[in-house]
Amino acid sequence: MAMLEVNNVKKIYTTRFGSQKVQALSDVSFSVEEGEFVAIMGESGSGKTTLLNLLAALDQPTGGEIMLEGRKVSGIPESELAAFRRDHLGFVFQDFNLLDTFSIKDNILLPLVLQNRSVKDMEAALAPLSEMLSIKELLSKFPYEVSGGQKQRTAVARALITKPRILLADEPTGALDSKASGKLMNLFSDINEKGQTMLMVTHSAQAASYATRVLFIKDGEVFNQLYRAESTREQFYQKILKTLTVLTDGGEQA
Amino acid sequence: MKKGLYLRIAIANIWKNKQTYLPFLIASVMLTFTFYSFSMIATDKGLSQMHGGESFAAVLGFGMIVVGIFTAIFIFYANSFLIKRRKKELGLYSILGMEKRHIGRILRYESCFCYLVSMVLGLGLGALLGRLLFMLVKLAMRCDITLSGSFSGSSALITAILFLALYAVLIVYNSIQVHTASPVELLRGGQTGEKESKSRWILTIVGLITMGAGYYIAQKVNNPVSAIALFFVAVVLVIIGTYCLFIAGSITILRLMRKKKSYYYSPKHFITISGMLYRMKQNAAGLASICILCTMAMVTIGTTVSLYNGTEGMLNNYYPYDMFYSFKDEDSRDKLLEFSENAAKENNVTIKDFASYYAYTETIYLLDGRVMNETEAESLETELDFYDNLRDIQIMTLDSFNRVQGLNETLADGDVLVYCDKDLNSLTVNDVTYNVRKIDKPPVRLTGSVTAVYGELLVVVKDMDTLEQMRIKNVRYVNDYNYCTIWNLSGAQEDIEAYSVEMAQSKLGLTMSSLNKTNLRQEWYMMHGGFFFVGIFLGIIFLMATAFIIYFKQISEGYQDHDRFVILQKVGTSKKDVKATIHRQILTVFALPLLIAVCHVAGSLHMMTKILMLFGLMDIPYIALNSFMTAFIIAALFGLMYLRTAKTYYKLVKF
Repeated sequence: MAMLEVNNVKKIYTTRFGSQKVQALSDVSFSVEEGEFVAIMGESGSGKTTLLNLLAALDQPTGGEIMLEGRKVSGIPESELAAFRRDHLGFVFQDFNLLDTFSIKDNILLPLVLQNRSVKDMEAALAPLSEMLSIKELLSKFPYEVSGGQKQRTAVARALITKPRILLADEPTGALDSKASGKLMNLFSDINEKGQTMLMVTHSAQAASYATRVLFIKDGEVFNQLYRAESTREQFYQKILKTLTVLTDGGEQA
Repeated sequence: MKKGLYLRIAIANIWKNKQTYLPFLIASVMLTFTFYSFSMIATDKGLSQMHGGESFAAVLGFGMIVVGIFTAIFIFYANSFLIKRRKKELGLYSILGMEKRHIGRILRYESCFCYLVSMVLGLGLGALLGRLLFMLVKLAMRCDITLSGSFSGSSALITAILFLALYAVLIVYNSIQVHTASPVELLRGGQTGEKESKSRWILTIVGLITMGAGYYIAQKVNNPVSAIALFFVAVVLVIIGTYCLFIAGSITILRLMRKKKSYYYSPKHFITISGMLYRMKQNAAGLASICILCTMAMVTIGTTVSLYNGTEGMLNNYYPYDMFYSFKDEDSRDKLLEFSENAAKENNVTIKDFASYYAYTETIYLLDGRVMNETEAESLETELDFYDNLRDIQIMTLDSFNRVQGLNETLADGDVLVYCDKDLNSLTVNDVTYNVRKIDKPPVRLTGSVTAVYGELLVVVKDMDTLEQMRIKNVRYVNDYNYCTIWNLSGAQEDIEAYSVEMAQSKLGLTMSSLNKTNLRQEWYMMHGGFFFVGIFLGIIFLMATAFIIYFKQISEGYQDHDRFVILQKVGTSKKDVKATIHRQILTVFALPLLIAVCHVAGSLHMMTKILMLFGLMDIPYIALNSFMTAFIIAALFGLMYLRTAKTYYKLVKF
């Protein structure tokens, strides 16, 4: 059984006064196996973020269904949603979404605190993560005192500390320079190699080339997909670029 | 051409920022209106002709000073707030190539605009509502007087000049702000990080000490006169203490809570404590201001309402009888009594409870049963308990005492009957010591005793010789008005008033001292009505300022909080928890200052009652009741604001 299954998902937004309907996703189906690192690519406005919001149960699909480990996400009652998100999913956002009111350490521990875990558990979970993400020296600092790359690594630590079934990342390199981006993506590969299932939305071919599979979305549908297989990252990058060109040309023809 | 551009930008700025400028303008207009109104009423011609009108004018004059000082503080606070919020915008101008002097000019125009609006609307309101205010004043003073109620040019001028001065200082301050800041600094605005500073501990300790000292003074004061003297000391100490403790103490406590890991790392406390820490760092001063303003509103309204409503009781306390006359000889007394009887007949007033007696009164210093005159006591004036030992001594013959009180007491040689608030075993006057026999039952009070201020000391002696022997030697002012008469009046109210006026106006060429309760009542209502009017007015102004500060805090925090709560929900906080957190946070903003304000009011009660004793108000539970009723009303208003704010917050947080 696939870890995540997306079947014929559709999402239509209605404008405020209900006069206009905007179709963000028309018919999206795909699945993610355990241990995979999937990147979803598409131009802005193609429905990437909408899809991620649906996966994260931050929004409800208009049609179709999303299954996480055989459980229907849209069927989870409102009262359990927050706990579901907290216990099963990890998030990394483009703008980090760290809280200025917390130190780096407290930002990372936040999900565990919400799970009401013991202080001992928290420290035990924090130590290896901060080591791996090399943010050990920053723990007592505050978000506005550290660089963008460090902030994003903090966000990754926060996402991973609950040992989520799947890590969802929304343009994680979007606010980083190329050096910090490279470092972060290398980290993502490492984490994935340790068995973490990951799903990332991005429009950067560079970032996507670190994934094991890339899905292309266009006009609310899955347009194509590429497997990295045995190719090197550079080769995979070139392939992605080619597909993107086709994607754009196709857009012009249509 | 160019000038016109900056003026246009200035006006456009105010319009763009109307969310913040509008409340500022409203506050400025209201303060202008208040200041003008006080000045107009105080200088009204009709008022100065009234009996007791001067005391009312004096109270209003005091009110003007308070409003003036308050306006200065408030306008500065509001201005710093507005500038802080607009730093980004000003930085943008600077980056777009505007020179600092141009930005300064825009700010100048804005201030001028605010000034003009305040003057036009504030004075306009004053002109419009002048008559209404005068009606309220009349109502408060319970008398029918003719007040002109027309627009007062001189008051308007004073108001205009005062506010011009304030705004001028504001303009200079803003220019300095703009000139010393770099564009980058301006752009960054209020975003400054957390700085760990050691001075927090010092501030906390300073706060604890000043606050403790303030409360200690307020509890330890025993005499009304020293209460007045120490009142401002205590107020300043408590204000300093409040600011220090809000700014540093709160953070120290929160830090300690954060240090305790098992407590801090639990869902309930984690978000709240860190949120409060963050918030306190930025807004402690604002919360302290809210607290102080609430306290001021409660104390002002509580005391003035008590004073006003307690007037009748105080009058009876001070003056047990409607009329009191004292003369140097019996002849003068008889002449006046004859006149009084005729006047009573003419006005259809009946004289009752009439009594006449011989008594000697003096203010003395009483130490261990020894009476000292003022020259002897002068060297002790620096002592803290000086006023506690002052007494109004009243010496009567046994004969007079028995007659007036309807008693049948006897006295042995060398004995005196004494009624005193202090236990005395013997009494030494002019170096002669007398045996003291206590009067157990409080005697009927005869004269307008000032016992409210000083303690009471009634001495009954065997005969006239002993009384003469007891006359305090070497006093500056010899009180030889010893032939006293007292009586009450009954009849129709206007008849009694006519009689009182006639009695007050006819001196008959006699040397005498008199107290006329009906006239005094008028005078008192003038003064207490003045206090009442000013107190309520000031109370409303204080509350308005409080509302203003809270409003600004919410605006500045709302969007910041919105982002935080969205993030919290994204990482898996349930809506229910978010709501609970919001509740706790907003509740703190509203409840903490109010709670501490109530503490301050409770702490001030002892001192306030002592001060009100100067006015003769003795009813302590009544003062407490009024203060806490005010607190209750303020709490209710806060509650409404709280509900509104919480609702707005939920809307903001939904995503």
